[in-house]
Amino acid sequence: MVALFLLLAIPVTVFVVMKNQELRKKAAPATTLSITPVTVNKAVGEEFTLEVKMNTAENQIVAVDLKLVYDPTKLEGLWIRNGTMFPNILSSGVVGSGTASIALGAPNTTTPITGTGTIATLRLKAIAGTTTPVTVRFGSDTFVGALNEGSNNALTSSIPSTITIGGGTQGTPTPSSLTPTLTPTLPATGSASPSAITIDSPINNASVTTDQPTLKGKAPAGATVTITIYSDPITVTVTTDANGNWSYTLDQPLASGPHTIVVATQDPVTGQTKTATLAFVVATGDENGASGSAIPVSGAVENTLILLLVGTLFIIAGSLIPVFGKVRV
Amino acid sequence: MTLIMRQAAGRTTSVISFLALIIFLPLFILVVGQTVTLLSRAVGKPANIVVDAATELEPVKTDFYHAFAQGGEEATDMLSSVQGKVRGLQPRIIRIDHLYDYYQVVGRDGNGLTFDWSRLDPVVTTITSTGAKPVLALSYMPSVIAKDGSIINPPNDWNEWSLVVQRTIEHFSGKNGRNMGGVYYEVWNEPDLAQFGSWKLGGEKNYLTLYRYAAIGAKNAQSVNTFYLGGPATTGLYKNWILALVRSGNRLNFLSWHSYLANPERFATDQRNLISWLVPYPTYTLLPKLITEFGFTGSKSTGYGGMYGAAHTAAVIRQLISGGPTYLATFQLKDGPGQSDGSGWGLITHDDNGLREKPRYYVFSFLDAMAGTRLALTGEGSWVTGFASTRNGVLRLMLVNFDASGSHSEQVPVRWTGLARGAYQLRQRFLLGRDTTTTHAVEDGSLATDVFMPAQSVVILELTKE
Repeated sequence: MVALFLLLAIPVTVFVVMKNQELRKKAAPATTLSITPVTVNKAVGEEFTLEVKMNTAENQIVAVDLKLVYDPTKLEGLWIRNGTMFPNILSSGVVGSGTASIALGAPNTTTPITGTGTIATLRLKAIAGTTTPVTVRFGSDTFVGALNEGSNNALTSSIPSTITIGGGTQGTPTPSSLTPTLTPTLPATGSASPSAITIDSPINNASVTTDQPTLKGKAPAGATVTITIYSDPITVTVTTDANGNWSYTLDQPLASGPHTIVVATQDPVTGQTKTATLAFVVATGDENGASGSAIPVSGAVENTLILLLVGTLFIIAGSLIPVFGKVRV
Repeated sequence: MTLIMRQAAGRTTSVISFLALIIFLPLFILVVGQTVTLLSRAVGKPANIVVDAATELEPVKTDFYHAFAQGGEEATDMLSSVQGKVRGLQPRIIRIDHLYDYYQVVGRDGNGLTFDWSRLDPVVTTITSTGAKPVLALSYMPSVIAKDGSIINPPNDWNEWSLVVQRTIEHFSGKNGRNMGGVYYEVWNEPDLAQFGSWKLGGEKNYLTLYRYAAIGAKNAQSVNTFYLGGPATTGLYKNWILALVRSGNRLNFLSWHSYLANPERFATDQRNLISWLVPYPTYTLLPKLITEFGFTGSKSTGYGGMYGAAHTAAVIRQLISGGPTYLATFQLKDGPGQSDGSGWGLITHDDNGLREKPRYYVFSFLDAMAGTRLALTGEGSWVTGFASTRNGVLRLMLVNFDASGSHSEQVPVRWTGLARGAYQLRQRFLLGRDTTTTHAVEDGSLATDVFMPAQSVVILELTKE
């Protein structure tokens, strides 16, 4: 009788427990993240802010390791900061090329975060037009840690933001409209496509001995080229000749030290803004004692060459001696 | 050619080849080193700083770096002769190790272990008299309980180690003892280092066992004030050590490690890595994190005696100014004896060398001026980094030019945006350097200036509207 009872009771108990677990799982609080606004329309050069929102549902959130991803050819990250929902920054906000991250925490484990609110704010700049919209989305390694959820990621779904960047300000390339949009991005582009714009002189990271250098490059024939020299900044426009060459000699002296050039033009076919940047140094021996070189000097190149030569000689010697030895044998 | 001649020729060849190799190898390494240096410098990015006065971030914490450690240079109350100078650093915590071997706390008689605090007590009293809480690294194994009497060995009886820890906590944190609150007890010092026992995460010298019995001792401590038990105090931040301790289930009130890294950015990387490891362990993610020793190298270096060390410290603090650890303890407060060549780790020279403050000593109070609300800043470079803040209407920008491998100097463009129209005073105050003030007019909401940053320099720019 007892055996029969056990035979029936065990499967029933297992079934009930499993059912309860399943129910709990179905009812398990589902934390979501979203980026607002969900859709954004901006012009090239415009800066805008996105907010990262959280709905904890029933979860008690302790920490969020937030990773955002975007197209670095279209968007430049400026900064990321914590929102009001999480006062505790566990690791600092970092914006890189196409990524932004910040880790946030509750004040302590006895006061976990619940509810809805803004957990972070991301500032972006539109740097190039889009033919199809791009997204700012959550990286797959975004992790939301919650009490009573063990090592499980409490994040169940996320909503990205879709960004459309129009031609915007580059349609009318006047100095006043372009100046704020062309924050230099190093290193220089270097390898531009034939339809793109280039800076051929000075060379990237080179030193120039005049404080009024001539800047030269190429762009589509007849194009208007906007040149901005940072950090003052100085902005001028020139027009390329029939061969696509543009040139400009500064009419005012630049201060000694590092400078950055940004040139921009509108692609006549696509309407997109093409840009190129490079850094150079005006080395006219200023009174502040600046190094006068974009490449800081500590080791001497001559020494390196001598050592390379000596080393090579030893390599040759080391190679030839055994060879001669065998010949003698 | 005879066999003897062939053997002689072969031997000669070998000798010459060997000599060539001996001469060439160092040259080759030198060449590679110089080439790497040149290449690495060539790809560096100069700074182009933009401070957005209109975008406020989080409050700037200035307390976390007022933390210091003193190594076991001498088995005495080393800090007593520099008590006033240390107080001037406004220390929140001061860490010491060598509790049991230097101060002969533990003995044994016919009834068991005996405890004599008479030599350690003055050391802790000196620490508290500076305003700091002590961080006591429970180290090393008292020789009377250690296997073979070696202070880096496990005990013969783990229960005796528990008792030592229990009595230590009861003595300092006990309501019937020194009655101190908020003492940090760190289990061991650099257990992974051969010098301190080369403990592992398994085997006979298992750090987790060492920790577990320390935690048992902590649990057994009676009538005590709030105290904190933590570790692993390793020579670096190691994922396997951190997670092993987290998963061990023992009492764990803080995580600690040491960082001797020349690259300041590595300190921020460590913070990010640590959080990513801990976030799947929600009850541990928010634990206090203590870097209980830091510097640019674990070896003695004359860099510690000059602006190199000062700039490194400022650059590290910049990296940790947001999302940093609970404490970042500078190693160390005072040189040991016989370090008059300036290679000691100390912020202050030894008694035999005049008890003089080194440049690094002045960094902490200098950076305190940055307290306030952090401002958005862009354009940090490979060498020049910084952060900005605002307090009571004054905007401040700290810049540090730290070049780990040379003497890089830089003319740094600085642009302030989001300013109200009007006249401003701009003060440039270099750490241990010049202090100048200029007046500027702001018409369009921004102000552009240049700052020349010599190698290993630290400056604070203060912008005040007249």
